[in-house]
Amino acid sequence: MYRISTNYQYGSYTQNIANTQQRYMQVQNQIGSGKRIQNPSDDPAGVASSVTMRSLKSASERYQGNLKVGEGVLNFSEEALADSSTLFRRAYQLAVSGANGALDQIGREGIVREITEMQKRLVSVANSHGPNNNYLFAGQMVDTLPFTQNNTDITYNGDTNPITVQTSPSETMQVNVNAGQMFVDAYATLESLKNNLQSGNTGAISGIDISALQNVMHQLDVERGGIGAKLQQVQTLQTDYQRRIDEFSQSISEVEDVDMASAITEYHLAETAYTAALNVASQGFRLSLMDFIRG
Amino acid sequence: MPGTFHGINLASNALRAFQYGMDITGHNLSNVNTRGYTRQSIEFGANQPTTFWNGKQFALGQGASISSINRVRDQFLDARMLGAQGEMGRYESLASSIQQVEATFNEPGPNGIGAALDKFFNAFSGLASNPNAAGVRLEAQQAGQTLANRIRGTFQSLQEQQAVNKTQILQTIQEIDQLSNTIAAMNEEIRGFSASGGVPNDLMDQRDAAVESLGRLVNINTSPSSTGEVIVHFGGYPLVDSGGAHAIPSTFDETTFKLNDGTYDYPVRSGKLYGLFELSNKVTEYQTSLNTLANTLRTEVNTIHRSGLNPNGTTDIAFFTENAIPPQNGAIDFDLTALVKADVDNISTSVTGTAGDGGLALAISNLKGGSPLLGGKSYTRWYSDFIGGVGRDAATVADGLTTQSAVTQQVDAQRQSVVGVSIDEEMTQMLKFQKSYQAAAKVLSVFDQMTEDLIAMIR
Repeated sequence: MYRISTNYQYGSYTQNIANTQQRYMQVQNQIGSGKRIQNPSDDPAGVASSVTMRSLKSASERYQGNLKVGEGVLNFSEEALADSSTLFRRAYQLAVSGANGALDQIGREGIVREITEMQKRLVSVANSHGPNNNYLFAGQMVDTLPFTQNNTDITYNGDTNPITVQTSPSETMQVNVNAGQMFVDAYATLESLKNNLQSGNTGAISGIDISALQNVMHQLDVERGGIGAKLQQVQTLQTDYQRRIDEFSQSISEVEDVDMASAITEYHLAETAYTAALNVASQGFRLSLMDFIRG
Repeated sequence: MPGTFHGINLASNALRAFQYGMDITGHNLSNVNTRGYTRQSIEFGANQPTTFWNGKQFALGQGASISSINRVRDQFLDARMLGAQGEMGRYESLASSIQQVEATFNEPGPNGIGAALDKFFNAFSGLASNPNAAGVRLEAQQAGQTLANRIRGTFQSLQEQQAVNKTQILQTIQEIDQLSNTIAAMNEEIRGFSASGGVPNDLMDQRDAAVESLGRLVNINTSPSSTGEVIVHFGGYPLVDSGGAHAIPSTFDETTFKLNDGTYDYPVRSGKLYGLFELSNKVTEYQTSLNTLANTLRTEVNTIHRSGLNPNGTTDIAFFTENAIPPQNGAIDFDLTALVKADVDNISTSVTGTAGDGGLALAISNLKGGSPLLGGKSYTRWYSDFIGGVGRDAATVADGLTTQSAVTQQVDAQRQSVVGVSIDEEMTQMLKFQKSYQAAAKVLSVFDQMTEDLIAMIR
C-alpha cells in the first residue's frame, strides 16, 4: 500500500469528481440532443454507415420524385388518349349512320361538318401539354408544336425519341407515348371518311372507313393499356421506395440516435456515480489528524 | 572526566536539532500545495562521543544533531514520469485540435459534404427525368453550388487549422528554448551551491519541474552530472549541458518528424511537438483527399457536361471551374463556372439538343456509381470511407489521451506516494518533535537544577 500524500488525496477527489461529472454531462447531452453520434469519432463505423444510408435514402427519395414526374406525364397522356377514344367512338357512330343509304346528302353534309370539327379537336388533343407544360406527344422535342394542320392532312414535327425518368441507379422508364404516326393516321382516317361522305360513296365508308376507325380505336386502347400498366408499375415502385425510405430512416435513427431506455438507465448510473464521488470527497475532506490534536 | 556542563551542552544540541526538525516539518507543511515540491526529511545522528578514564576507558555520548536534510525522491519514477509526460504532451496537443478538425466536416447530418454529394447527383437524376423544368434546373444549380461551397469551405477551415498548427510549432520551439535556458540557469546556481558543500533541495525541485515541462514538449533524456547539474539531450542533440543551454534546431520537416541543424537530423518522437507534427500530417492528408474529390468531380462532370448541349444551344461549357491545362488546383478554388452561376440554362442536359432529352443529365447522375479516380469506389462509398477514417483518427487520439492520462496519473500517484507531503504525517512529525523538544528542555532544566545544587553547595 502506498503512502498517501495530501495533494494526491485531494487531487484524486477532484479527478474522480471531474471524471464522473464528465460522464454525467455526456449522457445528459446525448439525451438532450437525442443524438448518440455528435462527431465522427463518437462511432467511426457508425458514421460511415450512416453516410451510406443517408445517401441511399436520399436517392430513393429522388427516384420517388422522378416517378411522380413520370406519373404526371402518364396521367396527362392517358387523359388525352381517353379524349381521343371518345372522339373516335363518336366518329364510328357517325360513320355507321353515314354508311346507311337511307341518309340523304344533306344529312351526310351535316356529318361532314361534325367530322371537320372533330379533326380540329383531334389536333388540339394531340397538341396537348403535359404537367410540366411540355407537349405530350412530340417525342423529345417537347417545346415544338407537334402537329400542324394542312388542307387535307396533318404533319408531325416531333421525333420518336423517348421521354424517360430514372427509376433506379440502372433503370429508366419511358413515360411518353410515341403517338406521332398514330395521330397522323387517325387524322387521315377522318379525312377519308369526310371525303367519302361528301362524295356519297357509302360503299367505301362501310368497306374501308369503318374498319379503319375500328383500327384507330384499337390502337388507342392498346396505348392506354400500356399507360395503365406503367401507372401500376409506378405505384408499385413508389410504394416500394416508400418502404425503403422508412427502413433507411429507421436504420439511420438506430445508428445516430440515442436509445432512450438505455440512455436513461445510463443517466441514472452516471448520476449515482457522480453523487458517490461528491459524497466520498466531502467525507474525506472532513478527516484530518488536526481535528484530534488538542492544544 | 567529562566537564560539568556536558549535560547542558548535550541538551542544547538536542534542542537545536529538534528545532530544525520542527522547521523542516513547517517547511513541508507550507509547501503542501507547491507543484513539483519534494518533501524533505531530516536525519539525525548521534554526536561523536567523548572519552574519559575512570579506571578504564568510557565513551560518553554527546547527544544528537542533524546529519542531513534529504529530498525524498525516486530516480526510476522520475524517468517514467518524463516518458509519460512526453506522451501526455503529444496526445493533449492532438486531442484538442483533432476535435476541431473533425467538427469542420459536420458529419453525420444534412450539413456535410456527404449530403451535398447526394443532393448534387440526385438533382441531375431529377434533371434527367424533367430536363426543361426551370425549377429542376435551379435545384441542380443550387445543389452544385452547395457541393462546391462545402468542399471548398471545409478545405479552407483545414487550411486555417494548418496555419494555427504552424504557429503552434514555432511557439513550441521557442518554449523549448526558454525552458532549456531556465534549466541551464538553475544548473548554474545548483553548481555554485554544491561547490560550497550544500544541498539546494528546493532549487533542485524547481529545476526538475522545468525538466518535466520540457519533457512534455519534446522527447528528451536526462543524466545527472557529478556536480548536481542535469544534462538534457533531445534525440542526440544537447539542449542543456555543462556549457549551458543550446537553442534547438528550428528548421523542421513535419512530414518526416525531424528537426535539422544544417548537418544532422534530430528525430522528434514524443511531446507536444510530435503531436503537432502528427496533426499537421493528418490535416494535410484530409486536404489531399478533398483535393482528390474536387478534381475527380471536376474532371468527370466537366467531361460529360462539355460534350452536351443546353437550352441556350451552346456546348463545351464546363460546370465546375477548371484550369484549361491540367493539373487542377483541387478544392481551394472549386466552384461553379461563371456561366453556370449566371444562367441555369447554361447547364447541359441533353446529347441531341432537343428540349426533352435528359440523356446527358442522366450520364452525369450515373457518375455517382463509381470512378477509377476514386479507386473504383462510388462517391458515397469513397466519402463514407474517408469520413469513417477521420472519425477513427479522432477516436484513436481520444482513446490514446484517456489511456495516457490514466498512465500518467498512475505514475504520478506512485511518485506522489514518495515525494508528496501528507498533512497527517507531518502532524505526527510535529507532535514527535514537539514532545522531543519538551523532553530535551526537561533534561536541560534538570541539568540546570543539578548545576544550581552544585553551586549552592559551595555557598
